Amino acid sequence: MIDAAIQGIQMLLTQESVIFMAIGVCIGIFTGAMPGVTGTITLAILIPFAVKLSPVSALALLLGAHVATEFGGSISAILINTPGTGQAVATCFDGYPFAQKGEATRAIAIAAVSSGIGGLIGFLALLVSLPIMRAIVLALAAPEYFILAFVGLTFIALLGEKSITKSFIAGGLGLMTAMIGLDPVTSASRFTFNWLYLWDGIDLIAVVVGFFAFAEMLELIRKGSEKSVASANVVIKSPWAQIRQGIKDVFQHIGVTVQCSTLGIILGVIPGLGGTVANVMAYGTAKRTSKHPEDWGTGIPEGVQAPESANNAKEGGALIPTLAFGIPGSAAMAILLSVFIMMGIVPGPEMLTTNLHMTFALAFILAIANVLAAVLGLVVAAGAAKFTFVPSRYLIPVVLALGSIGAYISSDNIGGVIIAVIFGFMGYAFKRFGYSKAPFIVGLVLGAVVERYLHLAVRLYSPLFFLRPTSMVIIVATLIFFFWQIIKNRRMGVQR
Amino acid sequence: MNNKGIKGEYIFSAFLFLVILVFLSVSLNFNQTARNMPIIVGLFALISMISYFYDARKTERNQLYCKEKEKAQDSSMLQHLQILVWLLILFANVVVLGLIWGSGVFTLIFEKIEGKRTWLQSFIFSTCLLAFLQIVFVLVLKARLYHGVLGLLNI
Repeated sequence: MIDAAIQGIQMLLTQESVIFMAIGVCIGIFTGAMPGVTGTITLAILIPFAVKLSPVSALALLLGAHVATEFGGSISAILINTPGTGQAVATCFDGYPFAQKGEATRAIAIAAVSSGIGGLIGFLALLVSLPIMRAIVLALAAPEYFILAFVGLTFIALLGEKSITKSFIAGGLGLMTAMIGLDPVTSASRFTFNWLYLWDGIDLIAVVVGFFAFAEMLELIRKGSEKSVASANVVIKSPWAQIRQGIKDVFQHIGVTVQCSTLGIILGVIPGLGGTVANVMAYGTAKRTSKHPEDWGTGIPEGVQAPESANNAKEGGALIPTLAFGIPGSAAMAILLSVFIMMGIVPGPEMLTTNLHMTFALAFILAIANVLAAVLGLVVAAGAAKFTFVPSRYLIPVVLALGSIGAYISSDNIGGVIIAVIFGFMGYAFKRFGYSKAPFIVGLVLGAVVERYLHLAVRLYSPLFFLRPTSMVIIVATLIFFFWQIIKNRRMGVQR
Repeated sequence: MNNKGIKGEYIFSAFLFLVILVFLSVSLNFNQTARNMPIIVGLFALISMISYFYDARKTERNQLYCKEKEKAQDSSMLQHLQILVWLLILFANVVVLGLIWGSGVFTLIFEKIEGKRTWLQSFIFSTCLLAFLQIVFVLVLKARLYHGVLGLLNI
C-alpha cells in the first residue's frame, strides 16, 4: 500500500499535472463565483480540454476545478447573496450580512480557509478508509456489486430534492439510455436505429454537455440574457486586514470546522446527498449546537465556516463509493466517473487493488487542490468578485461553443453534437417540469455496471444469486432504509 | 394555480411515457439475453410513470401541493419553444459551417438578437471568441475538428 501511495504521488508531482491542477483551481474559482455556472457545467466545459491530456493531468484539471467551484460558489453568496453553486446556499445566511457590514473579504477569507481545512479532513478520511474499503470490496462479488449499483440509484432517487416518483422515472430513463448500443454478451444491436455512431453506446460526455451545460444556458436565456445577477454596490474595505482577521476567525472556532467536516464526510459517502444537503445540514447542526444560536444569520464567522468546511470535506467522502464501488454519489461524481472510464480507469474493485496508485493520486489531487484553492481564494478574493457582474449574454455563446466542441471531440463524430442538442432539450425540460437530473445521469453511468454484474451474477451464481448471505444483508438494509425514508417523506408531506 | 405550467408538465410526462412504451416494444424484438435488462429497466420506468400519473391525479385536487409546482413553471409553451430555437440555430450553424466558424456566426447572431448589442459590438465579441477557439483548439491542442458541410465541399 505504501508503494502505491509513493507511486501515486510520483505520478501527480510532475510539472504538467501541477500546472493543470492550478489552472483547474483558477477556473473553478472563477466559474464557481458566477451564478448559473454550477460545478457540473464547469466539468462539462472542461472535458474537451481534459481529453487531450494525460490521465493524471486530466484528472488534476477536473478534480482541481471541481474542488475549487465549491469555494468559488461562496464568493457570490457572500458578495451578492446569490450562491454561485447550489452547494453555497447556506453560506448566504451569514456571508451576506458580512458583506453588508463591509467585511466581505473577511467572510471570503473565512470561506477559503475553512474550505481548505474541510477538504484536508476529507482527504484524511479517504486515506484512512482505503484499507477498510479494500477489505470490504474484496469480500464482495458480482451479485453484491449488482445490488449495490441498484441501491446507489435508489438512494439518489429517495434522497433527491424533488419528487421520489419523478426521480425514479429519471433514473429509469438514465438506465434505458445506457442500454443503447451493442449488448455486452451477445453483441446484438439495441436501439441504434442502424446509426453506426450509436453502436458503441451513447457518448456520456455528449449527454453531460447537453444535459447540464446546454440546458442551463437555455435556462439563462429564459431568465433574460441582459441580466448579470450582481447589481448591488458592494464595498470591500481594507482587504489585507480583513484576510488576516478571517484566518484568525477560523482558528478561533476550529471546533466548528472539525464538527462540520466530519458531518460532510458522512453525508458525502451516502449517494444522493449532494452538496446542498451537506451545506444546509452543517449550518443547521452547528447552529443547534452553538452556545449563541441567536447570533446566527447576523454575520458571524461560524456561520460561514460550518457550511464551507462541510462542502469540501464531502468530496473526500463522495470519492469513497465512487472509486470503491463505481457508484457516483452525485451528478458531478458521475461526470468524473465517465471521464475516468474514458481515460481507461475503471472504477470498482480494481481501484483498490491493481489501480491503487491511481486512487492515491486522486486522493492527493484532492488534498493539494483544496490547499491551492484556499491559497488562491485568499489571493483572488477581492478580484473574483468582479466576475459575478458578467452578463449572461457573454456567457451563453461561450459555453455553447465550448460544449459543442467538447461533445464532438469526445467521440470524434458530429453525432456527439446531435446527442448534446437532443439532451440539451431534455435537460431543459427536466428542469422546467421538475424532474431531477442527478438520478438520470447516475442511471446512465450505472446502466453498464448494473448490466455487467447482472450477467456475471446470473452466470456464476444462478438466477437466485440474491439469496447469498452478503446479498441478503445488503437487500434487507436497503429495504429498511427505503421504507423508513418513504414513511419520513410522507410525514413531512403531511406536516407541510 | 398555473394551469399552463401543469399542462406543460403533463405533456412532457406523456412524451416520456411514450418513449418508455416504444423502448419496451422495441426491446421485445431482441434475443433472450439482450432483452433481459431493457425489459427490467423499461418495466421499472413504466411502473414509476403510472405511479406518477396516479399521484398527479390525486394531488391535483390538493391546492397546497400545486402551489409548489407553480413557482417553477411560469413560462408558456411558446416561450419554451422560442428558447429551444437557439439550440437549433447553433446546431444548424455547426453542421453547415463547422465547429469553430459555426460557433462564431452563432455568437454574432445571438449577441445581435438576444443580447441586443450593436452589429459592431456583436462582431467584436464573436471575433474574439473565434480567435480564442482557433488558438486553443487548433493551434495549441491540435484537435481534429468538424469543418462543416461547406468545409467538406471545400467551399
